[in-house]
Amino acid sequence: MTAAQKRRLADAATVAFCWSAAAGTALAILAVMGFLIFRGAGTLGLELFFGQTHWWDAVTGARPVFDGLWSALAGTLILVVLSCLMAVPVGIAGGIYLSVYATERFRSVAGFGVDLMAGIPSIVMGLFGFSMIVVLRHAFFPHAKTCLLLAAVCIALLILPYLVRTTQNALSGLPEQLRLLGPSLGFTPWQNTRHVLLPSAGRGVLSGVILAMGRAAEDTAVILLTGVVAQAFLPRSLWDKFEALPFRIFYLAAEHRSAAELDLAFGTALVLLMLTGALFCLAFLIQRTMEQRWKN
Amino acid sequence: MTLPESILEMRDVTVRFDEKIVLDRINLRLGRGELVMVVGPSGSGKTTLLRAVNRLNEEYPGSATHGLVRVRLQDSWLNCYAENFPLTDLRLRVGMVFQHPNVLPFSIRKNLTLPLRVALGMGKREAEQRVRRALEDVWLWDEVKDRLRDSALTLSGGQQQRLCLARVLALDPAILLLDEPTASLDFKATRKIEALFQTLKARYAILAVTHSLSQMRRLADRVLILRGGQLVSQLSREEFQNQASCLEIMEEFF
Repeated sequence: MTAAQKRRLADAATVAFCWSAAAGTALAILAVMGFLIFRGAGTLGLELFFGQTHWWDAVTGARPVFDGLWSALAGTLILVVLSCLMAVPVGIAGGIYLSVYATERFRSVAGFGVDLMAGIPSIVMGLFGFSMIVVLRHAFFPHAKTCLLLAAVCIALLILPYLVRTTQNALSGLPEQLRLLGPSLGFTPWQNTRHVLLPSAGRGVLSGVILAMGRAAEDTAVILLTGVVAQAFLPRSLWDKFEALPFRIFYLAAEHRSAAELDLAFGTALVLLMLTGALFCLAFLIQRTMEQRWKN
Repeated sequence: MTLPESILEMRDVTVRFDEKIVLDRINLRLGRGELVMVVGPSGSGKTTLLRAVNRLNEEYPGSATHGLVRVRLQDSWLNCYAENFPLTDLRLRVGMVFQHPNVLPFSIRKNLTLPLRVALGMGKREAEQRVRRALEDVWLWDEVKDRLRDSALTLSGGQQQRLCLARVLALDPAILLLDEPTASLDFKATRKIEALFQTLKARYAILAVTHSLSQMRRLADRVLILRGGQLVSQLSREEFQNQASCLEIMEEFF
């Protein structure tokens, strides 16, 4: 084979490989979605959400929902919102610090710490939350128990490293000329970050937020040890036990006695997917609105 | 030849990046209304020389500058590297245009008003007036006055570079630093920007870097030749206008 032929073959092989990898990914996603819809779509309906309770009574909290996923949906939504409220500002600020202000040395040390944190298995984070409660009970608050707030704090810790890293990478990835522009126009480092760098890196930061939200919505191991229960109704306060969609999927699947009950798990999974999809759209809209405001 | 009153002076300026000497004992002066061009091969330290004036080298880790850089503003000499000289003020008075058009992905108007409002804390109305004046200064007003809300990225390369220049002029600097400002532009856009600099040099002291010898001959009042971080020669207009001697000198130094 001549050199030119070899080059052509290598080129064709690379194209074929990349193409099939992309197609395989798309196919896998379609297969999962298709299977979820095939098994779960039939269960979608008011009864899946509210059981025998009238939907209006459930939404207003007049009557508890016994065998619907309403409480789990509310629990997961509150959990995601709470943990993101805690983690997103801190994570983005941390990323900004590492990218704009930190010295080279601190950046590499802290960066290693962030990577280490990202590698912590979620069950360990759950265990951390659980042992925190044990310590609190013995030392300060004898009535402390696992609850929604504790779970949200642990989830926030879990997703924090993703936010830090994606923000830092989005900012560091900006072209050098753009990073020098603000200073050359007499901007302070903060003015440069606020008015030039962050708007330019908005989409990169958004991808980190989406990743973090998805992780917060799906994680089961952390909440398992920090306050989730199978039947809790709507949480009345941050100190209350709560239900969550991923945990509901887990116990529906683990303890099903008939195919119909298993289908409920698929239906719940479909709802979880729609919930995260809706949250992504919300994050996307917020980012777009901010971008428009920045541009004009 | 009588030199105009100085507005910028560098004395024995040495710049290091992590112990590597990039600029070696540079001495230069720039007068009011003068356009001085620095030429030299790639890697000779041209960009670093410009950035030593507005202290942009400090945006990189490991940079160290020694020697004296001073600018004359409001009839008093100010040491650029003095502790009490605020960096942001220096950079407002010493404007810089980069090699590639460096517009922000915002509207044309916001590209100009953002620095005015953020760095100068200017009110909305005053900023609008400055925008118009700056755009007129770079002959862009007529081209963009009906589309100030459009993204600056919709402008052509030459227009973008003139917008960048307008953004700097709006801040009312005393000195302009131009880092190969026509390097990424086509022939026509280059000629337009060169003509613009001809008119601007009456009002500003300009220190420019170029690797185009023809541009140097068209624009410069004086030329400094930089090689390996050292200023190796200085040419007056008469010297580099003479084609034969110019070629000879360039052969020697490049």
